[in-house]
Amino acid sequence: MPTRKGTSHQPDEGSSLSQERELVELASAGDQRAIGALYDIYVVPLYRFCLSKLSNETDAEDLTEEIFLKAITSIEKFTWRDTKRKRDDESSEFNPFRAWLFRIARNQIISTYRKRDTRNRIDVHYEDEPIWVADKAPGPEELTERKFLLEQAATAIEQLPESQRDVIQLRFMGDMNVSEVAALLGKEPGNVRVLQHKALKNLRTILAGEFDLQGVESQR
Amino acid sequence: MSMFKSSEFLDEESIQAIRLDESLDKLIIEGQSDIDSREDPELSELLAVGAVLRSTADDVTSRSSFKSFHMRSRAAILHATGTSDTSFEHAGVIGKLIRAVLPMRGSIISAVSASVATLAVILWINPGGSNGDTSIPVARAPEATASVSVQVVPSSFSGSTTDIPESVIENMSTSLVANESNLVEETRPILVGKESVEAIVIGTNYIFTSMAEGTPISVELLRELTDHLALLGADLRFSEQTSDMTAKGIQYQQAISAAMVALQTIQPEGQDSAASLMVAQVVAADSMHEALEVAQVEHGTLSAYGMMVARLASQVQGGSAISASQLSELLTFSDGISTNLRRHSNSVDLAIFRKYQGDVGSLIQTLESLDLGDEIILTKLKSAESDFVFVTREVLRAELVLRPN
Repeated sequence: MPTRKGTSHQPDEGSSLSQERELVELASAGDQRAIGALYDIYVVPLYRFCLSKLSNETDAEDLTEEIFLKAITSIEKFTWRDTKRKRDDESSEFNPFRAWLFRIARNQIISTYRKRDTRNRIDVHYEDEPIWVADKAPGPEELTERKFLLEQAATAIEQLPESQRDVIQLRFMGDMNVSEVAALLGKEPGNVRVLQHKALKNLRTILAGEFDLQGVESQR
Repeated sequence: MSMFKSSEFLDEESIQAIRLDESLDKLIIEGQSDIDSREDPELSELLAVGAVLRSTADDVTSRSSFKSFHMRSRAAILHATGTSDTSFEHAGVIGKLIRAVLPMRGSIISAVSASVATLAVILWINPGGSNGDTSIPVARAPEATASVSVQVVPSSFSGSTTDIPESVIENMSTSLVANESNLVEETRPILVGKESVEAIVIGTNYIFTSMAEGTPISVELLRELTDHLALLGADLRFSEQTSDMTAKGIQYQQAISAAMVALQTIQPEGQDSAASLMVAQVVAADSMHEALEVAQVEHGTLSAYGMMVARLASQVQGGSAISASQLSELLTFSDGISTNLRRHSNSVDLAIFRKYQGDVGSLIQTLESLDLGDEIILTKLKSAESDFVFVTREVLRAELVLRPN
């Protein structure tokens, strides 16, 4: 399946959308290969999104699996509608399956928050701890410097107002385009873009003290 | 299509937001932006922030631990959603091999297991192959039996590792041959992992045979083997606790340990192959960890661990580059065995304690000869040192009990 360059997880828009629709239909009929292929497409954005919300790798892993399993076991309830709908946006196509999957993800995360809150009365963002808890068995690429960058970026996102944080987490961690984010949050794409713009401005201010953004830019 | 055609109706902030979004899309999809920082420094800075976020997101899922999670959870999901459909288990390269030997499955797999032990020893001693032909009878799928010419040279091990081939031969032949020859019989009542255990045994043999013949291992085979290894781990992790868990744990250890040894013999060709091999090794280590959680450590598992320690020592002596992931994987394996031994200390044989004591001691000795800068590795090394103290204490205790007054 063709994949989105740079992320390699979101299918190319257009023709790949119809391929994904076919996968969804096959998965709905119980085709194991289609289920596996859909999981391969969505495990990365789902996991990133869960991690950005839950701040703990083990919890993010468990939840990613839970969300996908929940989606697959109720996939017959999903209907692929409005593929050609572009809302008021002509720049990006709308993937109803992704929007549906991430709606399940959001609900599961909210449910997890509630459970945690009831059980422990603990702030889910672990204010006094690193945002990303280290792996049990980290690989060699996880150098101290990189960990620092991950933690700083996550800490910065946590400081954003909720509406901006949602947009950033869905857009950058969840690999969603503006149309999909808008559909999920019940906002207009134009509003989402403005929130995204404001969020990045705020992040620039927060991160300015931590990174040489000009340096980052020049490496692109 | 540009969004600017309607921009006359938008305020300045909305126009900026649209421009930013278009550039971000380009950055995300193409990995680069065409914005010149001199022309639009504001937009350029915001894109730089976007690049940091994107890089953060990519880093999170480029770790080996994530790849391992991906494979494990994929197997678990297919396991949970699957019915009696065996297309996943029998679809690929290994599936073809299994189908080819279906009519004579039991005898083939027994013979295959026996040849695995022999080939493992030969390949281990002489990973590159060289002079001196020895004809080794090998059961190969799809043929019932075949013979391959394997080149053997005297052991390249020296110094502290001179005893390795002997222990390798002794342990591999007693564990892999004796235990795996019963794999098919023993796994019959256990439906969930049976297909994967068979696939792993066949795949392991195929790797050893191919390495002996100098045939490269395909990425597809590695991925398929990884799927089956992940499936065993997922089966242990997500199954309800039943009375056959210990039996499963033992059988899975046997299959996984043989696969771990086989994977170590592979010389990857190209980036895809190297990446697939790394994922297979990480998944194998993870599944082994699960198997060690449910059953006492097997002789075959200890043999595989001993061989990996010996290989590391040989690589260090030969001046080969050692990757942090290789060290990390071995130390994690060591930790899993040690935890298992502590849990079962009352029922573990003295011989097992002694074997582990020797191997973990050798591992520590090897690692201490390296200039380790990685804090994580150093922490694990300290843990291994503590394991050595523990196991030495257990050996002494057992010897005192056994010693006549």
